[in-house]
Amino acid sequence: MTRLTMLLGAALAAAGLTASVGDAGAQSVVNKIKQRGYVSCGASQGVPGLSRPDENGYYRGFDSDICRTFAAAILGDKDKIRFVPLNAGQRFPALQTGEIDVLSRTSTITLSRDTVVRFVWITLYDTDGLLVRKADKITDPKQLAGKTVCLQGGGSLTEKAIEETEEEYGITMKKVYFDSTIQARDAFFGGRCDTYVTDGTAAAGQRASVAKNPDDFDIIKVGHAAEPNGVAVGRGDDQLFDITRWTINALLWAELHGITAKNIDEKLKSGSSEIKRVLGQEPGFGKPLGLDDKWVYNVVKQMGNYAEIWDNNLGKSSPLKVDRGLNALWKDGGLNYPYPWD
Amino acid sequence: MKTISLPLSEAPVPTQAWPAPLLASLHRTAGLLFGSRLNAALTLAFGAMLTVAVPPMLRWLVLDAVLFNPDPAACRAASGACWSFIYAKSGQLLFGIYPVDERWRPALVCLLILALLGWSVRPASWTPRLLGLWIAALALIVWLMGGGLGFEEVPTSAWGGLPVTLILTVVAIGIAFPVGILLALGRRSTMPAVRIAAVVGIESVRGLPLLSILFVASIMLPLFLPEALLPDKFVRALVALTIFAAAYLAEVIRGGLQAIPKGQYEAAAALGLPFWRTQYLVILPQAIRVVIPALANTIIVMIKNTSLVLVVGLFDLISSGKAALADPAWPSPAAETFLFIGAIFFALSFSFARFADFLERRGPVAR
Amino acid sequence: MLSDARTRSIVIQCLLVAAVIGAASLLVTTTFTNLQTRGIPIGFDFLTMPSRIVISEAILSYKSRDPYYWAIVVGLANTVFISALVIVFSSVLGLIVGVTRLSSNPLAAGTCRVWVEIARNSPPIVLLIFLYSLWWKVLPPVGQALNPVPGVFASMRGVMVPSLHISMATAGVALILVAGLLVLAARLAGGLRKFRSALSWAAAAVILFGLWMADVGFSIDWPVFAGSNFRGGLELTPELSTILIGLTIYTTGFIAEIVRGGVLSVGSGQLDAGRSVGLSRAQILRLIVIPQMLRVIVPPLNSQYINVVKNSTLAIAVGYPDFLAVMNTIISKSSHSIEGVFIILGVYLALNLTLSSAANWYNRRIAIVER
Repeated sequence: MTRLTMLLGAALAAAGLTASVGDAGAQSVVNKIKQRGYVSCGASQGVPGLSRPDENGYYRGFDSDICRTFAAAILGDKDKIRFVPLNAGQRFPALQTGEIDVLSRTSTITLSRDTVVRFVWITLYDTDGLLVRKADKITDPKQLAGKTVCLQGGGSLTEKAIEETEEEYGITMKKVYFDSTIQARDAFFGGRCDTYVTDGTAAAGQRASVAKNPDDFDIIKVGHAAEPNGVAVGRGDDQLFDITRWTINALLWAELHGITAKNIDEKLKSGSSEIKRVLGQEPGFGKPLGLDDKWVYNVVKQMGNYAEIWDNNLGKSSPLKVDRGLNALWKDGGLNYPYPWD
Repeated sequence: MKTISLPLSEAPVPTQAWPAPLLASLHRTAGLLFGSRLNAALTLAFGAMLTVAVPPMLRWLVLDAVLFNPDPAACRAASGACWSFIYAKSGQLLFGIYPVDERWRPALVCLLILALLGWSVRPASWTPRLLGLWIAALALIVWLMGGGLGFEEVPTSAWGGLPVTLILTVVAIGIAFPVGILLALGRRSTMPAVRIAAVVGIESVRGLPLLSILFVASIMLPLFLPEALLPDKFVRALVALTIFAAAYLAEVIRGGLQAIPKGQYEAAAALGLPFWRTQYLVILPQAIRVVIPALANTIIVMIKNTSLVLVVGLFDLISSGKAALADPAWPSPAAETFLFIGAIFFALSFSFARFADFLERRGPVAR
Repeated sequence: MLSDARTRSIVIQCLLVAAVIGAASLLVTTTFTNLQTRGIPIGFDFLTMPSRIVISEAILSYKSRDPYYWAIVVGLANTVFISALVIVFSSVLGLIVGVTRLSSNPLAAGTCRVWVEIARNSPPIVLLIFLYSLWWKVLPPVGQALNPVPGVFASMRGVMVPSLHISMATAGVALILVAGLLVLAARLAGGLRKFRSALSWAAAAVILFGLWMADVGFSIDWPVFAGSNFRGGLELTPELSTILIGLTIYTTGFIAEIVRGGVLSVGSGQLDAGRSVGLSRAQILRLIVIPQMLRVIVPPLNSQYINVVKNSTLAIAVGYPDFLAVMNTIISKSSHSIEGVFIILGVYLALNLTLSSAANWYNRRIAIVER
């Protein structure tokens, strides 16, 4: 009897102790980032033009640079960031569990995903592209019947694009799924498959920088799915949601007003009162977000505006030469429309 | 009496101590190769297999291979292996994404670990001092790899390649060994609570694939643990490997403990030795000695297991190999790269296996 | 107080139990706090929803409209399938390689020794990735597939073999008949051993032949090259072939060593004794060597078989959808990560504990004989 009571007493004491420790765990992600001194960003395992570690482990690409803008906004330094390579299957659990703070890795916004994480903004309007060898002379999707297609499993939307194509033309293709888009790509270039399906932008990237001879390959658009790729944060933290959303807005706004990393200091002197306010001349501008007043200035000064990030990674200054298309500002015929700073 | 043996005899017994004349040795070889119908058939079968397989392999590996020419075009033109790729990319293969200017640090760490391992296999150096030496070395390794105190800081997420493999192997097995001994003793304990805890722990870890344990440690742990107690990804993988190794080592050691006759315990009790000293002075030295072969096997499996951390996104040898292969300038010699990586693991495991053989032959463990 | 052994043992146990319960409650409270703050739903009701995930190849039929629980079953079937095949292949090969290593023939023994050393000292995942990268090196493009025997084609798209189509009804009838005959045969007296096995084989042959003559839903489907891919037949994809070949090579190395140790454990005195009572070589093997060898090799063999199940998770490295890979997809698609992890751990524990208890039971059965 005495032994039992002792055991129970000890157990209860221990449970009480730990329960009090466990409650202290809930604090905002932004505070954690500030304490830690870096932003932890979910990246891909290597998609050229979007996010890919180079020889020295430095992540290059559009998605990676978008993530750097958050580090510039929150910590005032674009390089206070760490990238975590994730495959398609790991990305949302990593965000849910708090393994990463932000996910910026070719992720399409869908209902089922948006109910478990929080998508902030569409950073890239994409389509699905099918890489084929020119030697196969495939001009019409009907000719895809019976062909083998390499694709990434794990519930990516490219699967849906293939299914749509099959239904539309009444054909069936042989599908080979891989754990990561890299394995799928290597298998395609190795000859395992006739075609390889991925996001259109990524397809252009793979063709430009992975193919031994880019001219041997064509890209065919498949499926009717728009692939609105976005940045996501975990649920239950409004502050981080606000910061990421308005940081992306700042990139588009800067492009609209012609503010670049080079001319930002002149614009600060000569610009309109709105520009002066947003670039941190008005005390208290960053307060609602819990940021420094000059946070937009830091972002644009260090990373440039949306157009610059695009050109460096996907556009004219990159080997990919992807057309802005729907990703242009509304005044240039695209879909990007910044929110007003009121 | 003459022993009669089946053709399933043990390895050939060295016959004479003095060198046999050439003819006699030829005769003996011929006898071994064609002595009986079975042997002749075996010789023909294996001879045919090797004749078919070996020349093309040799051609690919050496004769038609590009050995040192650091020009990707040469590799594209050659029909054989592309070893110059390994040579040209050796820095990236061995150290992954570690900052280039700081690569001397992981190189030094690798040398340090290998030198220490080499030093530790000499029976002469088995003193209590050795443990202190290892702990000091580990502190030095952490400082060299991670930086701080005058070096540029390198986060564990940028550690890569061979040092990661070596550190994971040495630390996981080094910590798992004492933990395994404790678990084994716990499983044989007379206290029911201790015994049940040990059994549940050991059996549940042994019933799971390491990959699933690594997966939980890397992806799910942030949900289960408060931020304050959460180690980074590298440490998490290390803990998962350690737990896994400890459960397996515990079972092997338990087997050795069961082989110890009761008289040994009674003798120790008669001398008035308390429990822990009995274990340390009398029981464990004998128990571990009995299970050296099994321990060696388990440890080799654990050395190989470190290769699985690539699945949870640590930059071990395989990941850095894959990253190097992504360079569009080269013709992606995947087979060669993985041969090279396999050879590194082979060298580690094989030399450990030889060390275990030596321990077995050596007789009683000196303390 | 602490010098008394009984008190001390109680105190130690109390501390241990307190620590365990403390750790458990810490984990549970933290998990629930985190689930709440991050708004993660929890519950197993998602299992009956349509999964909308895709599984590239499966033993059981699977469509993406099927519910999650069926996807889990399909992934598990894949794991059981590759594990079973690898266990069978590597047992047979391991027996051959292990015995050959004991041969006095240096060529044969040496070759087998190289195999064993390579298998035992290289990580299986490296072996698999290496073999997978060989597919495109060794095998020709699909248009120039190798055709070693009629009806079998090997190319970088995989290996095509003719497949056997048996309608379910036919298979059922055949199975029942064969099983009945086997039971009948087993009831015959033990003295008729040879006769018994011959009879059951003959019966099976007669049944199959009769079915074939009657043409009851039983046909062979040959692969045919059509345009850019093969049609018909059974396709062994590179992914499946790699995992089967790689794990078989790996496991064979271990089993060969176990077999060798088992044979060596039977002392030569036993063989002499067998000789002296006038047994033939085959009888000595069957009656003396194998029964005693089994006792030695069964426990380590069992742990190798369990290792095969665990190593099957490496399929993820070459893109074959085993249970763990399917679970990964399900977790990412449904975002029920906690439930997913519970299913993963529970299933593997159940699978391996079942295997090991079956093994222990068998072990007890053959270990009755006192040595």
